[in-house]
Amino acid sequence: MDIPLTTILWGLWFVFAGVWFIVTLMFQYHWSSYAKHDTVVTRAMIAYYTLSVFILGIPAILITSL
Amino acid sequence: MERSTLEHSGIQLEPNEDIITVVRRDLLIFFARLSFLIIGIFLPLFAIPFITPLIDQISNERGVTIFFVLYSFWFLILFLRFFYRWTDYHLDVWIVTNRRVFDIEQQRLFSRIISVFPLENIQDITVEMRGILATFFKFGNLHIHTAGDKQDLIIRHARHPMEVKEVLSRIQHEALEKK
Repeated sequence: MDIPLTTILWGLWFVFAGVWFIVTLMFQYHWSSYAKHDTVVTRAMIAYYTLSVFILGIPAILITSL
Repeated sequence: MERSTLEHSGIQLEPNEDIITVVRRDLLIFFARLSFLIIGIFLPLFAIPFITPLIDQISNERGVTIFFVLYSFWFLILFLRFFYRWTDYHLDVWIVTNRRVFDIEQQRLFSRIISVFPLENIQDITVEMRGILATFFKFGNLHIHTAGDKQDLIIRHARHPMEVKEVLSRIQHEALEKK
């Protein structure tokens, strides 16, 4: 059976996106109780979610372009 | 902010108990522990000339694109690792109130040790600053010797340990005078 390369890469993408989602839930559990009072945590959360868009978005764009 | 740290750890302050200072590890220690992440970010980029021709052979000349897709996945692992370490660093904290010292040590994301040391139990405070970096960047270990069987409190790589020692000595003196 010959699986197309893009299918394999999309498969990998979903695996890593799943890992990201689970780890994010764990981070969120700790961060959410601090975010109201702690501006450092709020800034870290903003940085985390902004960078996550790029880190997950760029490979998705690259796979689509293949 | 410090109150939310205590609330998150399930600790309630007593009436008339105020937070005096909060001690954390020095940022330099945090970044020093991340040096392998920095190496991990740049190392694969040096492999581009060697790896992409190999991927080209199996992917019909799309080696560079596939390399960067795989590199993005690797980068995601390092990115998550960075925030894991940062959360660990940020939640590792020593809170000094006018009655007690709280030692909250985050070992892993869902594992922590919380110790409480009443100020009257403190017998002696020692500051240990070793090496050029510790002297220039003003960080070191703070040993708080306590009475009784309880293990001594050691604040490792604390920021400005001399100032913390002075604050602790002052509030302990004030607490004893009130009694």
